[in-house]
Amino acid sequence: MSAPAGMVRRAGVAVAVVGLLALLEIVLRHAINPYIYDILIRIGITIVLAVSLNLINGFTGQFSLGHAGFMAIGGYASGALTYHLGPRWIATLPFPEPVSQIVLFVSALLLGAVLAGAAGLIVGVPSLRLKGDYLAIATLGFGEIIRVMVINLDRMVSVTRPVAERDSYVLIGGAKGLSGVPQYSNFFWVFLAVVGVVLMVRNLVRSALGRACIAVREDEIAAAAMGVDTTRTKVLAFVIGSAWAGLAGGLHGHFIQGLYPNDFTFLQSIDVVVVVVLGGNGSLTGSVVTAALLRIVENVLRTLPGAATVFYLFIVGGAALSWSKSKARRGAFFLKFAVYLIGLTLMLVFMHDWLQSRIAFLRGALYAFILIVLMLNRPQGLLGRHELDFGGLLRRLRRTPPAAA
Amino acid sequence: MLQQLVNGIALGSVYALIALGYTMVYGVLRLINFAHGDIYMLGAFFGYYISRWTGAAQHASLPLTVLVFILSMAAAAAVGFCIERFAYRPLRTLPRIASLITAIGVSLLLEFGGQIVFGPNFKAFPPLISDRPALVIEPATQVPAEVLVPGAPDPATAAAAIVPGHWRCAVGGKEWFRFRAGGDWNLVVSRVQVIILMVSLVLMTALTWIVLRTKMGRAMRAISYDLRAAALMGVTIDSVIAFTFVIGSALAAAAGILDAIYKPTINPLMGVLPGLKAFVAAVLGGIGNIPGAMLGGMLMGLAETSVVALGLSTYRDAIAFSILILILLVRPRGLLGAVSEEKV
Repeated sequence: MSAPAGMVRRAGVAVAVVGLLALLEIVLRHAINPYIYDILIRIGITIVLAVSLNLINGFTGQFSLGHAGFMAIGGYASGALTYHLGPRWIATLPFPEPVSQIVLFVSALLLGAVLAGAAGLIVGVPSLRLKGDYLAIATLGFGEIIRVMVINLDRMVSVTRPVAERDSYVLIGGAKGLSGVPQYSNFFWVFLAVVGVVLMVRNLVRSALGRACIAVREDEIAAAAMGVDTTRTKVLAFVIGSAWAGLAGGLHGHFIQGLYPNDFTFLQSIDVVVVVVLGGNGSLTGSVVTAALLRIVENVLRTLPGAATVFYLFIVGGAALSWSKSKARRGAFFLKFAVYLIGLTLMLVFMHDWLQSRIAFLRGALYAFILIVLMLNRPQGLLGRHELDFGGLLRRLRRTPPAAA
Repeated sequence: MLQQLVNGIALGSVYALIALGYTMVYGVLRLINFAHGDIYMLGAFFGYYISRWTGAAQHASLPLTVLVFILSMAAAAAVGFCIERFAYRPLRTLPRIASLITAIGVSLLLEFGGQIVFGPNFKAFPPLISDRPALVIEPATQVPAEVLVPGAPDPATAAAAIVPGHWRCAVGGKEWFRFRAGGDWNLVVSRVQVIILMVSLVLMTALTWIVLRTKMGRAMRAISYDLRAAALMGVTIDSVIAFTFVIGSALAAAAGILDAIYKPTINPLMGVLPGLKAFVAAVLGGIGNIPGAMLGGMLMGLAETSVVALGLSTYRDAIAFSILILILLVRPRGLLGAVSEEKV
């Protein structure tokens, strides 16, 4: 009797989650600033990307730098489906229009996820034989190749068309991008995906496959000796991660109402890697928290006062961190601290206009600077491999830390 | 065809110079120095500002051009030294992923910092080397017109008098020899291309000499073989690694200036793709292997110009990565790389 009871309970939880998300969607859509709503959606998409990459990089210990490529495949596949077949589907499906839209959107997302997963299989089988840096570079290469293919696909396919139609032929838009994708993504769908990916990866990590992943991460040779099929494990993790990246791509395309090759560059892959590494390789809550923090900080950095605030906080925070370390040399410490503060203030006062005119790049530079400083001071990421336990009043729950490799 | 070969070699020399820096750093540290492509960019910008400052931009002369090269290489070497000292050295004992992420961070910092300091726009690089052709092969006209026809030669008749299948080869504007051959032999080799190849060869020879014949080079090879054992034998690891970064950055800066003269525009993001492609070149030749980096760079340059020559220029960035993946799958140690066994 326990199994059906468990299923009933789970179904209840699922219904409650869906209901809560739907309620939040309605409330947030009307109650908060659209700008903040926009940031929330971007946070959600980043979480899906980061958690899925964490399965590959954090739990299985493979270093993928091509997540944007899979995001592109999923995004373009689902975007092209709703763009080209959407109107026809909605007209023919025997449901009221909102229901047809949901059916269309979900099937588009699933198509994107399946295609991205298939691409993950094609990329993963050969390249997961490589290790470390080589795998990173190979996945980077695949990511760039996917982008070049996306740019050239229209021209390749248009060969099958009559000559007169070739120039105006649009399948996925080539270098110009595909604009006019309907906006189906909203808080509900994005955070449903967030709940889905977090639950899936959490449960997966506790399953036999997840244990195998962790064994491969800790020592591939030892894992193979213990009977783990290392290739199958790595490829499966890669395929699952890629499929979720594809789904995130679909959510992204249906949110910004378009798909543009420049959204899926090497920088996008780096961005996801940064979230995973800063949050802690192998920490789900780390990825979630960092995704939110990074998107918020990024938006604060859009204005000069915001950037200045971040910088002041950064200096004060750095001083607070190094305070305990340097009790013996307080004089030098205060001098350094004062020099930083005065230097920053002088810069803000005298170079205000110049900085203001280059604020977009200042944001990127700060992002890179924070990344370097965090890596130098906390290379294991914010949470290492620990998880924040939200149930116990955010008290950090120490799970048995795996022995360092 | 011949023209594409020459263009490919010029591009390949630039890639080879950048690839050397990657391969040396990887050889001693096992670190992909993502910031290397941006050092190349910095080198070009240092060249730009130094040539304006020294007056080489207004009146180029050989001593001034050499001075611009030396100063820019020194400045880039200083940046390379600082990056190693402040970003990579503190992380040397930690897992390599931390260094890799930091390298990516340094690369982003240099790119965005470059856009802040230099401005995001393209800048025209001063013509330090004149772009007069050094060597030209063109269809030969019949015997000079003035000998045949008395009076002023008419350009139209001169052009009409082109003899099919006959070619003249001119060096520095003066005819050197003529020959008969079928096919397309049209060729223009600019002085910039010749100088790119010459400077690259000189620098590569110097580097090979340093690595094979000097005490510092021996220390570099020892570290590359086994860092800990080298340290135990009294090699001063820190200074040798710093030296590696200095040399690699200087070479990248030279490549940056050469490429900037060739193009001739520079911008703060110019280092991203050449950096990645040069890394691919290093992997292709066998990472950690100096002749391999040169070979890989040349092959990469040739592959890219052939793709462009075939009319597939939208694929030119994909070819590098396709080569990379192919080589990683078929022969991961690279064309000239040594086999390394996996230790348990």
